Amino acid sequence: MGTRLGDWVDQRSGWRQSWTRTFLAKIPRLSWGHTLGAATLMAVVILVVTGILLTVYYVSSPSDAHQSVQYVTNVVPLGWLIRGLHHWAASALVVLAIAHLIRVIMHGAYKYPREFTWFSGIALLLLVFAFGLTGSLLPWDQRAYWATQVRIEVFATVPFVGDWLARFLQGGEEISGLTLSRFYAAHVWLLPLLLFGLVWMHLRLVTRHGISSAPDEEPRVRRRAWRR
Amino acid sequence: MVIPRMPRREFLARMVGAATGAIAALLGIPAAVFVIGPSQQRTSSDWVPVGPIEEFPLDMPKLVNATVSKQRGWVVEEQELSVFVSTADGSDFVAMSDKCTHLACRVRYVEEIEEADGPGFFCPCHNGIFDADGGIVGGPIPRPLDRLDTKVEEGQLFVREL
Repeated sequence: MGTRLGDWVDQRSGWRQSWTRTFLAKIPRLSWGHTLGAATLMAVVILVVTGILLTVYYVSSPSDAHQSVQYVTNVVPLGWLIRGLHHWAASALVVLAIAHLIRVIMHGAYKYPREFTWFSGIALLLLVFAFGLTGSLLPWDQRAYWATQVRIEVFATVPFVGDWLARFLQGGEEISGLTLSRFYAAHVWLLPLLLFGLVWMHLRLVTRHGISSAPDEEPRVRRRAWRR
Repeated sequence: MVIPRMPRREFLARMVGAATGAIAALLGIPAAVFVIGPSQQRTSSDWVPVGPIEEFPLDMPKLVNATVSKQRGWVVEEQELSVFVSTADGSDFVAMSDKCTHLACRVRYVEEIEEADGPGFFCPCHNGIFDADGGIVGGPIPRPLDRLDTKVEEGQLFVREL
C-alpha cells in the first residue's frame, strides 16, 4: 500500500503489524507437505465464494430445488462453472484435508503444545463431512435422494438413539421437503458459522505455536523460529 | 542494455501479489457475470390471441383481457394482460396497455373528457389524462400509453408486448 495512505490507515488501524505478523513472518525452510493446510484453506475460500453465489439462484423447496439447480447449470452465464467449482472444490477439500492430516501425523505435529490445533483440525474434518452430508442432498435429484437415504440408514444403526437421530436428520419419518430445508439451513447457516469459528481458532493456534520441528531433527531453533 | 536490479525478496513478493490478483480475478469476474447475467437478458414475448377482428367496434376502444405465460427463471407464470384495442377501419388496429405510465394504475376509457376535447383515458390515481390515441393531455404522466404489437391471422387479432 502506498506510503502516505498506508501510514494514514496504519495510525488508525495498525494494519502493518497484523500484515507483517501474518504474511511476512520468517519461517524455516519447509517441505511441500507444509503447504497442504493453506491449500485446504484455499478450497474453503472457493467453496464459501461459490456457495454464496449459488444461493442467488438456488431455492430449497422440493418443487423448485431441482429446477433451480438445472437453471444454474444450463441457463445462467457461467453457472456451470460456479456450480462445478463448488462441486469439485468440495471433493478437493476432503482430499486436501486428509492429506494435511496425514502430514501432521507423519511429523508428529499434533503433540505438545499443539493438541488444541489438532483437536480443532479434527473438529473441522467432522464439519467437512457434515457439509458433505447436507450439501449433497441440495441438488434434489435421484442421486441426492438415494445417497441421503443410505446415509440416514447408517445413522439409524447407531445403538439406542439411531431411530431418534434418523428422525432428527430427516425432520420426520422420511426424507421430504422438511429434510431439504433443514439440510439447507445447516449447510448455509449453522455449519459455516461453526466453520469460521473453528478455522479462526485453528489459524490462531498455528501462528501462536509456529511450525513443529521435524521428528528426525533436534528441536533446537525450528520450534522457536516462527513464534511471536 | 540495463538490467534493472530487484532484490529476490521483492521479486517474489510481487509474483505472489500478481498470482493472488490473478486468482481473485479468475473467481471475481465469473462471479460478476453469474450474478448480473440473467438480470440483463431481455426475453421476447409471445403473440396472444385477443379475439376475432369483427368483434372490435370502430367508434370506441375495447378492453380485452388475455393470459400470457411468461418464463421467469425456471418458473412459468401466467399473467393477465389488459389491452385497449381501437380501430378506425376494422383492419388496422392499435393496442394500448391499460397501465398508466405514471405509476401503473389501471386507466379507464371515458367518452367525453373536457381537457381532451373528446374521448380519452383517465387514471383515477392522480388524475392522469390521455387522449384517445394514448397521448399525454394532463396530470403527472411521463409518456403516452404503452403500445403493443398487433397482427391479424385468419381473422384473429393477436397482440404482443414490445
